Order: sequence, then C-alpha cells, then structure tokens
Amino acid sequence: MLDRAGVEHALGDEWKSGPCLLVFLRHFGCVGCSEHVTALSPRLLELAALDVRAVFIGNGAPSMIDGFVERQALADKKVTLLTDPSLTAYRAAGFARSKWSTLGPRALVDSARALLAGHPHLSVQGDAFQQGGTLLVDRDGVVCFFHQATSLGDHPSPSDVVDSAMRVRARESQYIV
Amino acid sequence: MSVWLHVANALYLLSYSVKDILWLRLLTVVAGGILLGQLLAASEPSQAAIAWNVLFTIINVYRIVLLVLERRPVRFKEDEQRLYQLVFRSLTPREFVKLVAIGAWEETPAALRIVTRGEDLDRIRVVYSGRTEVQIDGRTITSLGEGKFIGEMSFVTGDKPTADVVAVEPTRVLAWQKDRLKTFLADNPDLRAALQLVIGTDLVGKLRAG
Repeated sequence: MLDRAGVEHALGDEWKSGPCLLVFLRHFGCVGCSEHVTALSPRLLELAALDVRAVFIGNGAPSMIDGFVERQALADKKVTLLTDPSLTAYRAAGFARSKWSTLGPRALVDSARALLAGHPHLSVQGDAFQQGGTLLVDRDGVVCFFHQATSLGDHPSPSDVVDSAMRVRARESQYIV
Repeated sequence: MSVWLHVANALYLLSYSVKDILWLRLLTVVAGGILLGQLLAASEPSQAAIAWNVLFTIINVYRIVLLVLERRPVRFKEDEQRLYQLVFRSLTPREFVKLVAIGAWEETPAALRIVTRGEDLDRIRVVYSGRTEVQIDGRTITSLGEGKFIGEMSFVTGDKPTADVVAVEPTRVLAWQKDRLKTFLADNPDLRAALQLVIGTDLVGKLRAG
C-alpha cells in the first residue's frame, strides 16, 4: 500500500488500534466509485464517532490520490487514502478482475445511473478491469463485513456498513443488553 | 364547447409548468373534470374517452389524498414532544411520528426486571422517565435513565443479553418489537439511517462511560 507521497504502509497496521473499514475502489476515475464514495461520505462522521477508521484504497499511481480527494471533497473527512497499484491486496481479498464486470450489461446500467446522477466518468486512473469491495475488520483482524463488487456499480448499503460497525463496537462492550 | 376545451388544455399546460407535484395533480384533476363535463355533454359521448378520464382522475385524487396526509402538520402529544427533544432530534417530526406509531408505551414498577441475562430480548426500549440499572450477578455496572436505550446492543448484534436490567424507579419506556422494527426500517431506508445515528450515539456514550 502506498500513500499519496508514495510511502509504503502495511495494511494490517490500519486495524491494530481498532476496527477499520476498508473500501477498495476501482480506479480513481471510475464513475461507480464516485457514486459509492458520495453515498458513504455522509456516514464517515458516524463511523469516526464509533471509533472505526475508514480507509479508501484505489489502484492508480500515488499522484492520483490528491485529485480524487479534491473531486470527492474528502479533505476534511476522517478518511485515509491509499493505493495498491500492484493489486496485491485486491487479490488477497479475493476481489475479481473482470472485463465483463466492467463492460457487461449490468455495468452499463450502473454507469448510466451514476452519470445521470451527475458523477463524472474520467479517464482510467489505475486498473480498468479490477473490481472493488468493502471489508470491516475488527482489532483482531477478523473480517466482520464483506462485500465483493460484482460490477462497477455494485456497492453495499452505507446503512449496512454502519450496522456492522455498531455490531463490532457493541460486542467490545463489557455487557450487552 | 371549444372555450372549455381551451380552458382545460390551458390548465394542463399550467400543470406541466409547476414544480410541486401536489399542484400538478390538482390542476390535472380540475382540467380533467372540465374535459369530462364536455365529453358527457357531447351528443354522442365517447365511452372510452370518459372511462380513461375517470381512471386518470381516480388515480390523481388517490395520490392527492396521500400527499395531503404526508404534508399535514405534525402534532406531538406532550410525552412524544419531550421524547423527541430528548433523543430523536435527528429524525424529522414525521419520521418520529411513524416510529412512535409502531411502538408501545410501557410502565414498569420499581424493582422489576426488564431484561434477563441469557434470555432472548424481543424488544428495544428507550427510557422516557425513571431509572434502570444494568446488573451482572447483582453488581451494578451502570444506570440507564431518561433518553437511554435498553436492548439496542442486542438489537444491533442479534446476541442475547449478557446482563440484567432492573427498574430502580417506576419507569416509563417506549418499546418496539425487534422484528417489527427491523421490517419497518427495511421499508424506510432514510429513517433507518437517521435511527442508526440515534442508536450509534447512545452506543458510543455507553462504550465511553464503560
């Protein structure tokens, strides 16, 4: 994993101090990812209040991170941006790399929906065919939520993500009632 | 005849230019009514045109009734108003009314156990008045007073309670059947998100206090 300066980070460090939401995007110019981030952004404060770190991961060059942060207005949000140009973490998580998921009929419908909602489709900034996914990992490294995108517009509901975050945090309590 | 036809079409034209769907439907119903009158007054009324016009009017009137019901002012009862201010301000008043409608007020006398450790909890409650205590083996862990949720952790995790909750004062709560609330929230995604914020805030408070 690389940050915007190209400095390497071990992904496992992200959940050492507490639960962590890992959002694997497609490439940084992807219209579906813009839609996904827009839906999730208003819930980042809730996740932060629950002490759940949020990490967005793309697969373009580190220099592409700043543009993505600016387009998605993430500068003042509690989120870390990293990139995995080697796709190592994507493969480890089992996320598909597929032309069908990018260019198939469902992907076309997803793209049209996102474009009509005003999301920009920019040039490819990473791997065009790599699909994304979402994981919530607790402090022990246990995956408590897993969503594998089957097309470029296949995103989990932000409310399902927040539900999982609450579930993880509630189970850390000394009691459950 | 032609004058009324022009009036009806002018109203249709006006209805297409308004942004508010309620006004659009109202104008359409009036225009349709005028057109219907003209169709009925014709020497040889077209049964098909009349039937279609009546169908459009029925659908529009039905939708107008729903819109008016949705937009009528919300009036809280005194206890609802207080609970709204205390806990549910991130919901819109109408969302809160919907939520209250599927819940039930419950009174619990002092010293009565509300939640039993290890037993399935079928309800989620929010304390309106009174005070309760969370106890493990008779030892008090924390107290839950006005505005605090009981059963939200079990609701979120699906786990059985690991502690008892006992009313230490006469306590009034608003309670929801978990299954009914889950179904309701699945049908109302905006309200689900708003309620998550309320429950998440309560959860964070308890985790930080604990």
